[in-house]
This record gives sequence, structure tokens and C-alpha cells, in this order.
Amino acid sequence: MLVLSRKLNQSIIIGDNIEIMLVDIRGDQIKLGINAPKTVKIFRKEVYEDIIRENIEAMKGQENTLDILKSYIADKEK
Amino acid sequence: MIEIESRVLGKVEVSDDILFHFDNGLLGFEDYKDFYLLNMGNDKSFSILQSKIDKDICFILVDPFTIFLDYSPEVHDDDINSLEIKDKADLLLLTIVTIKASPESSMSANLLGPVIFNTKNHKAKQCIAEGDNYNTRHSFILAEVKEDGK
Repeated sequence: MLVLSRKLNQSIIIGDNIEIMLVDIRGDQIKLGINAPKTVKIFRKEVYEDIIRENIEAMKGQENTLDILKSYIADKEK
Repeated sequence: MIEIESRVLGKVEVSDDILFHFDNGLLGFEDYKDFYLLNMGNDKSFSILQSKIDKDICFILVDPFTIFLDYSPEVHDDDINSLEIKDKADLLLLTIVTIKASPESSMSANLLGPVIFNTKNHKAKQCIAEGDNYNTRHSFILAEVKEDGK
């Protein structure tokens, strides 16, 4: 991983048109400002991790509990 | 028609009409690219996303608009473009359901990571809803499901 030191209001440029600026520092939290074309997707990494975790949960939870759903559907079809 | 085995549904007949290709797989399941989208009986709210190659890889999906009536996820243009969706009528959006044994049979839908299908070219993708409105666990009960979404 490339590691760069930056001070407040300093930026880095990625590629031709993405700028990431350090806009605020408070205690152990920093704020980043990002200038990027609309075509670039930007998410917190936790968002991906949350979805991966939930996908795995969703896969696990089916075995015993699916009967509930099946009986609900069977009921509706009566 | 060919017959495949599904962990959830047992033996089922499938055809390419219901086969969808995920270029990137689903998040955390990147190795699985091809899934059948199967109905659960005649119920229109729930369906099963079953891996073509592994009977154990399957997800329960729900039409979120039948439960969360004001759900309106914003999906990045890049995702819509990568699915080559040109007409909104070709877009099908479903969300993955998690069912837990305790507390008794609690269900939730992942409104943060909807699965979007192009019903015309059969490409599909798990997308991420932008903004802070949604998370991975929106609870619901079966009594809330309204099949016509009204």
C-alpha cells in the first residue's frame, strides 16, 4: 500500500480526475473531501463488509426456518 | 428443461428462461456467476436465487415493494449501465431475506444491497443503495406482505 503524509487542506490526485483532500482533523477522526466524476462509485468500506456479512447470514438461516415461509405460502394458496 | 437440485426447493425443473448471469457474483460469493430465479409456488412476493453449479448456494428473495411501501433506493448509473438496462420495464429489483430461528422466525430484508435483474438480457448484479437511508436488516413480518404492493 502506498502511504503518503498530508497536512490539513492538502490533497492527493488519483488518475486524471479524482482528488481527495484532507479537510478536517478532530481527535482520532479525519474528514476527507472527494472530487470525482459521477461515474465513480464511492462507498465506505464498511458498507461492502456489511453486505457480505448479511449475504452469509442469509445463506445460513434457511435450513430450519424455511418451513415457516413455505407454510405461509401454502396457506395463501388454499 | 433440465432438473437441478436446490437445498431449499429440492429437485426442480429449470430452463434458460430463468437463468441470470452475475458478472461479479454476489458480494462475498464472487465465484458463483450463474443463478436461476425460481418462484416459490404461486407466491409472487418471494422467490429463490439458486446457483446453477452448487445446490447449497441459494438465497431467498422478496419483492421489497410489497412490504416497504416507500422503499426507493438510489442506484448508481454505473450499475444500471453495466446491466445495459435501457427501459425501466426490463428492470426487476429484489432484496435478500435473512430468516433467523430466534427470536422466533424473525425475518429481515437487506435493503442496502438490492439485487437488480435485467429481464431482457438476463444480466444481474447486487448493487448498493446510495445514501444513509437503508441498512442490511429491515425487519418485517409475513402478515405485512401485500402481494399487489398496495
